[in-house]
Amino acid sequence: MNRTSTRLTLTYLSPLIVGVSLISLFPILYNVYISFTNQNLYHFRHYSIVGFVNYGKLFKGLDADFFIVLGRTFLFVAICLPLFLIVGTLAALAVNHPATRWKPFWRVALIVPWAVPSYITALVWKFFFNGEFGTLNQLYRLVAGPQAGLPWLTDPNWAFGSVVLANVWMSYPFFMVVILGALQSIPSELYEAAGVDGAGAWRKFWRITVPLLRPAVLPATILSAIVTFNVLNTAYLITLGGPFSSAAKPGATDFVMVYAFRNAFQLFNYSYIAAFAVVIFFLLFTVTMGSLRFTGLVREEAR
Amino acid sequence: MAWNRWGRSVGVALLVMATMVVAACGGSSNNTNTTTLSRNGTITIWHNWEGGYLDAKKAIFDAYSKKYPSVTINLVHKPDLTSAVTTAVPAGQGPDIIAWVDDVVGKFVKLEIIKPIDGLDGVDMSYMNANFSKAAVDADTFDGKIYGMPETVEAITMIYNKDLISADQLPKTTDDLLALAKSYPQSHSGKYGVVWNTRNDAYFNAPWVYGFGGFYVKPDGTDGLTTSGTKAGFNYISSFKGLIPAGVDYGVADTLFKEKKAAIIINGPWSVADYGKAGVNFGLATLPTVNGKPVSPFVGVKTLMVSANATNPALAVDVIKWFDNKDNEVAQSVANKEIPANKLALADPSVQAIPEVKGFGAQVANGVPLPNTPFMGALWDPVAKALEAVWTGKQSVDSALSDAHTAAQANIAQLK
Repeated sequence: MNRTSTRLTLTYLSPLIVGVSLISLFPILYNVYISFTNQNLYHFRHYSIVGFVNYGKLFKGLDADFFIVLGRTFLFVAICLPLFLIVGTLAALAVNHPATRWKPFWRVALIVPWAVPSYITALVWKFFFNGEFGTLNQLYRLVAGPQAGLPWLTDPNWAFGSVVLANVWMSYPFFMVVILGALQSIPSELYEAAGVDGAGAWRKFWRITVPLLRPAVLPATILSAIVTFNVLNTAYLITLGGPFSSAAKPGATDFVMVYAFRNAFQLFNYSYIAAFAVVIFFLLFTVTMGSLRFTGLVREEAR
Repeated sequence: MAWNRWGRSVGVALLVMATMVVAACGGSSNNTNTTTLSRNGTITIWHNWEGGYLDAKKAIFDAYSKKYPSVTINLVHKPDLTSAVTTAVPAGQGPDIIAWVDDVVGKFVKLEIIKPIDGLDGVDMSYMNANFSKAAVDADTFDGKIYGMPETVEAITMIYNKDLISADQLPKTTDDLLALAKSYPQSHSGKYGVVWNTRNDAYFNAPWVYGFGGFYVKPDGTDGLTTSGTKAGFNYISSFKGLIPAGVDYGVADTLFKEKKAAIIINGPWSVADYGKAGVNFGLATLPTVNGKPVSPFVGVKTLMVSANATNPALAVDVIKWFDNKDNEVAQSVANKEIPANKLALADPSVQAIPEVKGFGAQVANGVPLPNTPFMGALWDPVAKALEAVWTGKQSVDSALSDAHTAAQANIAQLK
């Protein structure tokens, strides 16, 4: 390799380098800087560097907001992902089944929840869950009497479940599409051969379908885990992070991004939440790199 | 290999960015105040006026633009106004005029979001005192400077549906109100006796906290969350569990009253225009008494403030003076049934003849001023969450208020 080609390469890459620096690197570094200051609502233009104070607040004890929020978010991901997979697989198998008629119609109909902008879907669900006028409680009253009502959004555990429900509704079509594509690429000869060997439908599913779906589903799952970890719209628009069981603790649906959003743009605790973001960044980075290596998805690059 | 060069250019990029970081922390912009009035340009107003209420206000601004055609007035509706202003103005953006309530005055001064209007377009203390009531002038004065001009005064009161309850059945004491909330649904299936946001709103529940002898915050930063009066207020609010929908919020309460499913709502002057439109035959009554003493809602002063970024502050003040002059205040009052802060307008016979002005006026007389200290900003959120924790049964009144006290004091410490 010689000098000119290096310079040429750099020239070609310079718009990208400038773009990435301005849009992505600069904000990240600025965020790291802010995390060492006391910038907040009352020290907005005139703030000073305070060192590790904000990091100290994050880790001040096992009952610190940070651990509650993080634990709750991991629980949310752990509940959502299997549901995405199960509902997505069932939908894909149903659409792919030879006996299903009007396939193109079903394929489009089942993708709709994914295609609609998520804030619209979230607000529709918020209405469904409304205790007084919501669709779900109106239906429930038909069975349980006029004064009855389920605490969809007012009880912490129910609210958590409600957000899971809305989130599964919005996300399963992604898995359905991925799985449907993979299903259609499985040669039918495999099933025929297995049939000749005397395998039943259950055995065919576990021995042929599942192993051949794996390469397509795994990256989708990792991607989706990150997206679910970073959920904001769905939770914030439906519950605003609540319900709150105490003024000094995060709410029942205060997931990482919801908590960050509330603290940054409602309580204006800029420096504290910058420190929070830095820690979350390293955490997500490690987890993602680890899982990529574990599943062999970076092998492509190493080749 | 080219690795060295790559390393070096990345290093340079990082250095450039580090410089930018440092540069970004310095300097605040200096706005030059033009004190001479020139009536041309654009004035942008951020407000939270809605529906029929907005129409009457818009007409007044339209009349100004008609009188001075080279002035354009943009009315921008901001549902989340205080957050929007707090983000936009320090970043050098935002409107020329902010229309909100006086409780943010102290906070906005501290944040350099608004600027004093003394000396602009002939505004000084004697102008203020000649035109506005003392309470309203006090609300808009902070550290001896004038930070806005009062528009209307407001307080929440009982609004009742005359078709569902007659005036002689109205509760006189807090015990009567609770008894009505219990008995009304028994005699009227599927309806509620009284509704308001008992779940998570510090403003709508202030009457009970202050009425039972508690308080939120003093100008020196001490909070009253753990006082016995505040606890008594919280106990009273939580005794409405099961009598008001569990998921109640402002919208739910408002809708129930509009749909004639609630006999009484506790709400403010801004709501009555729409109740009339919804066909509710309503009347006004003062909030009940506790131990013979009327409970006290917050009295808020709606205020027009001039943003720190206003490019033509004298023009902004001129627009505000026009909006707040006697004739326009009378017009707003007649259209929206509001209590004008302009005392000349309030004395006008056509205003005195409005039953709503009389009704809300009686409640204003019993109220406590909405604090304009910046410490009040540290209280809204903790109080709201403490109410929610009690309303959903997750915490006792004592522990909810003790947590709220901790959170509020943490906020106040940041502020000092």
